[in-house]
Amino acid sequence: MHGSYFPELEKGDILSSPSFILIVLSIIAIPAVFRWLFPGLISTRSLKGLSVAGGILILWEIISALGLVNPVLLPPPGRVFSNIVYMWAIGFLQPQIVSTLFRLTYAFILALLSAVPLGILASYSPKYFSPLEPLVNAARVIPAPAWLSLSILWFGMGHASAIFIIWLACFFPIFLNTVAGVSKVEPAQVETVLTFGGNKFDVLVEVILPVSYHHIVTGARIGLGIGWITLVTAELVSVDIGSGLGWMINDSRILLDTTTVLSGIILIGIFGTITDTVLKRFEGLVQGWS
Amino acid sequence: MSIVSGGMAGITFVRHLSGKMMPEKVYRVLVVWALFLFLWEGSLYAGIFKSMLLAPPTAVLEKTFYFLEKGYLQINIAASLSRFLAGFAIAIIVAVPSGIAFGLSRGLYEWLSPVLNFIRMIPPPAMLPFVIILLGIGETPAVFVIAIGCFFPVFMNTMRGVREVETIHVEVVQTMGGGRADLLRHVIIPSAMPTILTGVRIGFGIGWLVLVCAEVVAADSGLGFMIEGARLLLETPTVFVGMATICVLGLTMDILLKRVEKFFILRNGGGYLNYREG
Repeated sequence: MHGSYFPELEKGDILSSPSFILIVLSIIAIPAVFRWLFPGLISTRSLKGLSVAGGILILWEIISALGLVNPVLLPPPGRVFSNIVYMWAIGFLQPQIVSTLFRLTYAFILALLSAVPLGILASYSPKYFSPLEPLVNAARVIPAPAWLSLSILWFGMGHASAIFIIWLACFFPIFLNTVAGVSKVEPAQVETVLTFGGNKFDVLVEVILPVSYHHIVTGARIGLGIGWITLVTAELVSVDIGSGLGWMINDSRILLDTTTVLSGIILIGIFGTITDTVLKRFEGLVQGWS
Repeated sequence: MSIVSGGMAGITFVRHLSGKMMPEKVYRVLVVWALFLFLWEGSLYAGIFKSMLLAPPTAVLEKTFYFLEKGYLQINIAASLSRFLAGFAIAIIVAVPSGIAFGLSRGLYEWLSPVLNFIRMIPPPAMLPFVIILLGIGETPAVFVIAIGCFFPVFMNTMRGVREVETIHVEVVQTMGGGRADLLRHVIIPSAMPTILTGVRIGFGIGWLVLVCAEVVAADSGLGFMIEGARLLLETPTVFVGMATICVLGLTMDILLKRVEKFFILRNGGGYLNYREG
């Protein structure tokens, strides 16, 4: 009654409910034992979070095993995890992850390289940039996915159109936060550097970048969040794109393969958490700097 | 071409006649826009861009009037707005009470926030295919996904606002013999209000984004659908009509929300506003 990406997986290789529950329990229990042996190594908070997440998974598995929900609509988590492992083992998953992350990082780095210098320029020579403000404000209000159709017209289906709208999504938060950050620079700080014989480059490196660093990283985090949303939309719409986690989700949805749909959602959540954590680390860096 | 240049001359003329009647700011915005549209139209006229890829502003205007006359634009605006407002309202109704609960209870926060943080990192459009399987094609998945998009900013900000309530204010009410309801009504909600409203505005932005995503991916009405449908037919002017409408609606709602923010804060004594401006 429903299709599947991997019919061979249906026949076997699926984690049985008891073994899945056992694995989850041990994932909760091992850190708990560690904490008991070496107090202070693992925080109580992460242990609490882990046990709630594990509890939800076990409950979900039991509900599925008892047949309370239709497995086509909501497959058991054990099947979802074996599906992820299987997709990795046959080498199907890696290209999807690589192309999704490639699109995201490419557009994100492009956005950083364009938005930060433009933001600094805009707040330092308002004479040339304030006339453009009405246009920037209008462009800012149009959500990036609304540009998708236009971007497909301009760049065709594929990497380029996706990268364009992800760049657009990341650009405005970074740009506006850079402008806000640079406006926090006090004239006295700039004058101090100039008095001690520094040039404009010194002002940039010694004053403007350190002062606005925090704002820029905050903008980058907001931009990356919106970039993820836009990335997924681009991959869902451009069916011809043929790769990426979003594409995988939509393609398996058409086959009513909910297991692969859920695998994709969970993987996107994991990678979103990873990219956000990396940027959070950068946010922490500045405390030592300034 | 001539419409735009005529408009530009008109603006300058009106400005000249009215003297100081038209504020400098408005005049500047109008001139920049007119110049921009003039260059846009002119570049197409001169053949620098293909008109299939970049519709001339006059064609966009013509199309807008045509759609308004036929009622096509109104139908799509109504579809988008009703979908969005339903999701937005559900999100606020759920997020504010749960945010207050999470802000007040440390235990609730410590146990559940890791799981919520994981769900927060999943872009709402990624859930869309799954929600479609669960709830079927139609209005519900779109509204659900918009609600999820709006939920987290409002929730996180409410939680933060409640945590930042000054202990001394709480202690004053407790000393005066106030109960939990008094505490909630006279201290927690008023002092968390500015932060909650900031969350509402951020949530609006994300929800608006998700609305367009949902309509582009899976809908049979609305502005996002109109854009994507026009793209498939290579109707570039219609794509621009849709984008311009989304832009105008978004700006209007953002201004409205700013007004609401100001109103609520002024009613609560305006402490926040004074702090912000002074």
